[in-house]
Amino acid sequence: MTDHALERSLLADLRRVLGADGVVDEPGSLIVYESDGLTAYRARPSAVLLPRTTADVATSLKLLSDAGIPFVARGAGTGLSGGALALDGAVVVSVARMDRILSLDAPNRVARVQPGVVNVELTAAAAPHGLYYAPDPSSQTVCTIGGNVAENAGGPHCLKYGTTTNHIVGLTVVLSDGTVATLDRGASGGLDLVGVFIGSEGTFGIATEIDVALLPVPEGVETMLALFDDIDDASRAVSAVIAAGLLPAALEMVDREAIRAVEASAYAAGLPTDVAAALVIEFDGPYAAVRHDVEAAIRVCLDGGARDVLRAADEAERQRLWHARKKAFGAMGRIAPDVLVQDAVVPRSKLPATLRTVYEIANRHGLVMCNMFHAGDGNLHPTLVFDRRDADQLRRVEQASKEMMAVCVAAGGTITGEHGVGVDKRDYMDMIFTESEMSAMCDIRRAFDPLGLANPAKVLPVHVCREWVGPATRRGEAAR
Amino acid sequence: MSGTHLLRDLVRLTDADALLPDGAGSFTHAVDAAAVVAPGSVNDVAAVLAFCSERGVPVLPAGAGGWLHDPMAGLVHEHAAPIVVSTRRLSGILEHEPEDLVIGVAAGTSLDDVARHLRGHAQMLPLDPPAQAGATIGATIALGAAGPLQYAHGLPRDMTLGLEVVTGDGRVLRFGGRVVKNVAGYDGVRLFTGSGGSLGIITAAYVRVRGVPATDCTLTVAAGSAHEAASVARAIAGAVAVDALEVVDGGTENDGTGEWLVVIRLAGSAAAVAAERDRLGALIAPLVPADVPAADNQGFNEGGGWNWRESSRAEAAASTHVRLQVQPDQLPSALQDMTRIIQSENGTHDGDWRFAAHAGSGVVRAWRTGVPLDLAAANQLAGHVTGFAVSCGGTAVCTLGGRLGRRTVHASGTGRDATMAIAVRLADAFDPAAVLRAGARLRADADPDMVEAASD
Repeated sequence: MTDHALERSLLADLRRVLGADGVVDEPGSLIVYESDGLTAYRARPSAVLLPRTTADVATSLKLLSDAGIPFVARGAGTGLSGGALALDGAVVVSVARMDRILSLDAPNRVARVQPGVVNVELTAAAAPHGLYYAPDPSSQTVCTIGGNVAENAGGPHCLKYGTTTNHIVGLTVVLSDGTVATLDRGASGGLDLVGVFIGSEGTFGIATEIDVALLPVPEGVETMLALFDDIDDASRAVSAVIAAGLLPAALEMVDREAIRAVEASAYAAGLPTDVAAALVIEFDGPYAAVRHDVEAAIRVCLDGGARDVLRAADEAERQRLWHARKKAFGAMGRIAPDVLVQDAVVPRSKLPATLRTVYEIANRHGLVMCNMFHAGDGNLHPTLVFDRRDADQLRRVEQASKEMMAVCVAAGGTITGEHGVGVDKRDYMDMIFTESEMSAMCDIRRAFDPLGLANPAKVLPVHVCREWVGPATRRGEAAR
Repeated sequence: MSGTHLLRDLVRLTDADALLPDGAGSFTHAVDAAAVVAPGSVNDVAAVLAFCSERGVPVLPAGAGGWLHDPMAGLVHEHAAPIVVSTRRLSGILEHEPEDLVIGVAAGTSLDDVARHLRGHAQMLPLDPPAQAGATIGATIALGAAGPLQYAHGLPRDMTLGLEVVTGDGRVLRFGGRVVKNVAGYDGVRLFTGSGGSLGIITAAYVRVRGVPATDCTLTVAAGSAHEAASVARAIAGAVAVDALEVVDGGTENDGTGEWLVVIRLAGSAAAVAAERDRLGALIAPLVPADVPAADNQGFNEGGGWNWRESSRAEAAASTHVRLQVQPDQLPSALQDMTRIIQSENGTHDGDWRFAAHAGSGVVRAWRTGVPLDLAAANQLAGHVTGFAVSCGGTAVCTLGGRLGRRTVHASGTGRDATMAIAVRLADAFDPAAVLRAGARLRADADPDMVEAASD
């Protein structure tokens, strides 16, 4: 029995609602829920719940809140900020069994989905109607729409199509006391509570029905790979493409270390391993527009010093190219036991200088680093590979991370572009927000979760929400 | 609090130029204000709001004042007359790095001035709400106002990257930033965008901009009825890549051929626009009925005298506005029915109604020029519109003109009560003395015309 074991009566009540197999509390079965994609952090939940409907979630959260037990929602557990970490014996509410597409209205291009629907499966379901769901994080073959909503997930195509918040038009959410709220974007004069909820990282409640906007599948799509022998040329070309009046659907950069890791792995796509960096540039839209933009982009890259620009010859080659980019992070695992990926953003105009500084920081700390990132929106992902069992390496990694983040903030950027704050960047929030602003954010959170039970200790530094009673204390009070 | 003391205190908090004389500009046509003050700095805005919050003086935020309306309309009330706080002196470009496609602007800068500055860099802000000359970017974002370009470019919530705001109790806060990807902390940008000044006053904004397209042309197609025009527009929406797509009554200032017009804006590279024109031509020919006179060029008129700016100004200048949101595929019937309902009302009042619709998002608009409605007529109109909205499961907002205030119907159903509770807690957090919400709060308690629609 762990210190945070739930009362037998509470477990029994939960099993009455969710079924015997809807409540997991056997320690061996809880191990897989101890961390998300950021495996450096682990915490064992006191139990895992597996609801199937909004009513299941509402009744469960009511039971938990009556007992003062905090909870944390979990999608596929691919998050990269420790957002799904069950601190202080919180109960994990897994949406894995809430995986149905409830409705799809093709003429109006909307669908209503449960939070456990996998991102690519939504697009697959929309495909027969000539539609798709645009936000495509690299983890899209496993990550869930619910998780995407919690993190305001992005992906390579958000340069043109925006992030999750640009594609969600309504939400049903269950609040920490079990009540159900229907949120909209405030079109008829109210507040945009959908917009406020998205990216709240599970700290406001659990979205149990999500109204998504679907887009028509573009008529044409073309992907190219621009090869550069000089990193500066590559990063300057990013701005040059945009300055030429072009808006690619995606504009990614991969450097030599990243290419070598990918080519040595199962995801090899025949990328040349002797370049300093490569840009993956994609255009989509009507055929005539795509043709024009591709030719213009090729000219910009060649004028900017590209050694060559290769165009994917067919759909298979295009898919292979994207597979390589999206799986590159997974390929890093072959190089070293541990990987730490940063998620900082700078204005595009600052990209060349920032990238140079990031390489300098890694070199100075004697660390192996690779970069594969969303250059078009200035969203860097410096990826450090190391072995955390080596305490000195770990220290240097942490120091380098902090320096890189400071450089990006100083350049006019932010500390996280898409991975979220979670636990990982909670203590860096004061790099970009004043105490007054963090206090205001605490107020926003309290408006949704006055009880403080929804994923506590995430996003905001704990000292900010001063009047907040911690979950352990609340549990003690409830027990009296 | 006496009037003179209040004015003296406001000058002390700001400067001698801040107090605008009675009847100044466009502010007092719409409200009975105790004073109109335009602070010259963000800190002065904060000082004024802190002061009003401490003393319970209601505040009406405004930019140039073109969208101001009286939130207390039609109610018997006892409270102090509001102060209008205008951002018009917070004006100018704060930061513009052209290659980042982002611009930072003080909230009181007019959309026209922003556009003029951007044009100098071959850029544009694709935001064209129905607005009078001088309408500010801050007010546009506060209201979430948008026009025809929302079809391809979205709403203010989709293009605002960062905001500086002053809360109801005078705190200066900054949310978001100047980068397009930002998930640090909670989304204060989307909280304040469209909040209508109920949480605070926006004093600066960072917004995404675009390059000016190589080609930008507008075409019109004539149709014999609202239903037909909307059907044609929906067919275009499904097949052609356009920048804006409107259905308008052929009425007075524009082309005049046929009773209704579909107005289509195409923008992009020359090759792309040419291809979409061909696609449009192939689509339209079989759709336009034979008895509607076709122009020489493939059934549509080049330009046809359509002027986006003029039509926007005309819509904004009207005294009364109705806005109905339905599912896009309902647009043909909703537009047809809405025009019939409103025009059957019109017989008893002097004034001309005009109609239009955003064909992509399913928003039907109607506006009325001529003699302003009186309160009884306005309430009757609002009743008919909101009743219609309820019947088709949509939502509606009627802005009845300055001193007549607004009426709203929004979707309801299970979950609304919890949502309202969240909204009230948020408002209490940012405006603890409720000085920005005096009208809204009373209206929720007392307004018989606040209708809720059943949702499915």
